Amino acid sequence: MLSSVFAKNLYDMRRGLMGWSISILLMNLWIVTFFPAIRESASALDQYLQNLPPAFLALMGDTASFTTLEGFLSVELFAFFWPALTLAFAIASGAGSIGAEEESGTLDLLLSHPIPRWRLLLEKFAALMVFSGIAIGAGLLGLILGTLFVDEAIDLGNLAAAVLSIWLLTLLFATLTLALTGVGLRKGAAAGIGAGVAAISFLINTLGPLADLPETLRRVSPWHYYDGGAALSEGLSLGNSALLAGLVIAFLAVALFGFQRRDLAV
Amino acid sequence: MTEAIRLERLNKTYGKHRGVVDLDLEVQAGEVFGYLGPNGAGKTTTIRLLLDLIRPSSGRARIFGMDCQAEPIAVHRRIGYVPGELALYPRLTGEQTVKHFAALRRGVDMAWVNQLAARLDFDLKRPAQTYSSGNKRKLGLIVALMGRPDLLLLDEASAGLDPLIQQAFYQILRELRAAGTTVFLSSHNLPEVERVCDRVAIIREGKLVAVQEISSLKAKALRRIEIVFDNHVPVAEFEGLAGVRDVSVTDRRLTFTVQGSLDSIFKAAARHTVQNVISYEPSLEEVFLSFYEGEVQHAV
Repeated sequence: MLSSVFAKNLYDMRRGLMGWSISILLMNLWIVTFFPAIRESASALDQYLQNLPPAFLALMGDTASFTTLEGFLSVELFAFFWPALTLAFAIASGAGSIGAEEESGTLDLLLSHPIPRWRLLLEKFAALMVFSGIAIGAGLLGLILGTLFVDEAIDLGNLAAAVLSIWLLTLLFATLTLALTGVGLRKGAAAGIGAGVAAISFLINTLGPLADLPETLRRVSPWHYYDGGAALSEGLSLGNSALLAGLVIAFLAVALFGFQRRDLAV
Repeated sequence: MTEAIRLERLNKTYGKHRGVVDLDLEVQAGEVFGYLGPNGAGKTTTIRLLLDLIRPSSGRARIFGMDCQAEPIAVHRRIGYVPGELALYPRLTGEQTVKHFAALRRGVDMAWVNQLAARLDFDLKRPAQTYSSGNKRKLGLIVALMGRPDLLLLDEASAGLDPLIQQAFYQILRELRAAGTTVFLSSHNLPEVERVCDRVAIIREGKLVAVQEISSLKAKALRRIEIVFDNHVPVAEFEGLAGVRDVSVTDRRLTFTVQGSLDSIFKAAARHTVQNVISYEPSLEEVFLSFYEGEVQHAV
């Protein structure tokens, strides 16, 4: 298990990852089981929703209709709860990838061995991809178990598309915090900035239209390119996914470049 | 290539802070070289520059002829390093720690690891967080030595080792040296450097103030000595002896500082009945003063 930096990272994270995965699995399973009861009162709820202030409606997502499973999942899971949970995990792991080793001092000893800095960073990134993939996979499993439990069908292709979209958004914020520590920020600062950017860009994207923010500002928000719930009924937008993936690669490049050049902190 | 380490006008500044200034130094392959200076003098900075953990502001460092910044991996293959403030992975056992770092190198021989552990009286099976600071340093030494490096970089090497284990450690150093390993050992402990090193560089406030054979360092070193007699002794008998100064007598107690040989003072003392001799090892600051004497006004 300790044959590489990548393997050691997975080994170190096994307990935390298991905790997060089980939490996300149970949350998703639990939420899906509410669907039958909600659907019964869906028309009343829809009416209720129409009477909500537009800001609340916007926060709940575009497809705020509880009459279909897709609409329900979109609002209850994909609009906020699921990505929020995976992002919290990803932001902390991304900031800790190099940050924790640098602050505890183990990075000095590690990099005195014949391993190039770029390789260390790529192995840490690969571990982040696997962590977030497992955490999201656990959520997917919970969701599917939930649909079986309530005996509802869901288009698995579209579900996979929506989950891929969450994964890309998660990786984007994980790589953002990795890049911030890569260029020399402390772990705590990187995590704080990552969480701040995630929250503010979420609000800009969801409340932007109501607050009459210019459309260009919304386009700056990564959430604008997160298909989430929309993918459940409409499938994946390749353009959006490619853009998120491109940003992941760009942040990774910044992390590599910054980390390769800078002094390690004592 | 007979040079293990070569520093060429090596500079490192951190913003406005001085790190090291214009270091020029050569360490020959096979030497046990001491790098002596007080805390904050720039010893760790120098070692981290050699390891490419930080980059020089100007100048360069070479190890076995290779530029430390241009070819860090080739350099690291030949180096073992024990950091001064050694941090380990708390949840890994000693054995797991060794295996993890061994995976980053080629050809680590576990029999050699077990032999090192036995000689340092070290239990590989416990998690690192349960190790005392001395045990952590032992593990650090095992990790540094397991790849049989050509150059060993030790930052405050024996700090935290108890005296018995220090002896085992010095014995291992002697064997490595006999096998041709170069050792670069930073320390603020003069007796340690005197004991194991062939040559020593003295660094102070980021600058090299002297590079010396240990023998000439010893000859230059000032020592304070106190001799207790059974009776009052006349101070005049001891003033003016070769290398002796600051002589004073209080009651039956003679105190003085001496540089170099102790022969004349002991012959003079032997005319009386000596009850006790107390020798104070010079502090680093006193060693520096002996180098600076007459050249620089020292700050008080």
